[in-house]
Amino acid sequence: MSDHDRIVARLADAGFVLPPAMPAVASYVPTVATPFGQGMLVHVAGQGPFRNGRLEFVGRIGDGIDLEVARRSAELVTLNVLAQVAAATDAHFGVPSLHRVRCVRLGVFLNCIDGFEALETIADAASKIVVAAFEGKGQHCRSVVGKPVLPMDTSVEIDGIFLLD
Amino acid sequence: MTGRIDARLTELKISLPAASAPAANYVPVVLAGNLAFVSGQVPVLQGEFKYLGKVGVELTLEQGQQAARLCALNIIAQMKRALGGDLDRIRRCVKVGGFVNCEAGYGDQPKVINGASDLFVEVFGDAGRHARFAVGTNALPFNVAVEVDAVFEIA
Repeated sequence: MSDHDRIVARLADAGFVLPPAMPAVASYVPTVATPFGQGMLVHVAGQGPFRNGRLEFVGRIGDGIDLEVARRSAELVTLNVLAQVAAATDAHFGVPSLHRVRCVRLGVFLNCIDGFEALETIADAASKIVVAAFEGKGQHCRSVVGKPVLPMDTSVEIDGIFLLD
Repeated sequence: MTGRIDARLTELKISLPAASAPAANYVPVVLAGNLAFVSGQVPVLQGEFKYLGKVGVELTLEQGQQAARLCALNIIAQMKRALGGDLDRIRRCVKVGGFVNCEAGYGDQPKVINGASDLFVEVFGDAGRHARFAVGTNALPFNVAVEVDAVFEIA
């Protein structure tokens, strides 16, 4: 088993299947990789809770979407972020190489009712997957904020910055 | 260790808050090459959340600015810890992201986040001048009024 496959298997053991990378839904690209030191810095565009090309979680957290569903939505979005990172490593190294990735930062946007307070609990569901995948190299910084509305009424959007060695 | 920036903080009569521990599966600062990324910091002082609620409703503009300033002090405290105490390794503040808890239609987010931006310039001088966004949000963790994150260039 390759080092990359080991990460995919580790995610599967935790109950998470790495999906294929989604194409962008508007006039942008899903990832941009730029040289950075000895490696590459990869910016990942905000991802949504899509599964097999269909939106799975829409609506406002705290109004129809409870904490548990919001966490599942954050997990799905994170998997879509990781799928983009895997595609970026494939493009750069010629073979999917998640083992050459370090997570630098996540930006977590939650479509929620005014004054909703448990934002960190939902973002933790995302952070946990990243740490499960990359272990020590998954320790990232993050910002999490509420939004009164997100594109297509998705409940969660997450973007990220990753480092390829 | 007392460096140039420590001396400047003393001159400004600023004592940094204790850097708060991460609440979960993430870290306050990630060092990547010559960049340092700081997680979103909230107005917390000695473990207590200050400035709760929406700016323009429960809180005045001035209180919002004080909240932003406290976020910025926490950012500097996190940087100090991440750099092993040596704030002089900061070459410049690159980017500040400011989120203001407010109602729809509120327009003074830039003035609120000036509370953070002005502090960085006070402390770091020209090296504290940064690119920035300042936006409104309808909810922040623990219902704090302001959240600020940042990127620094380090030596």
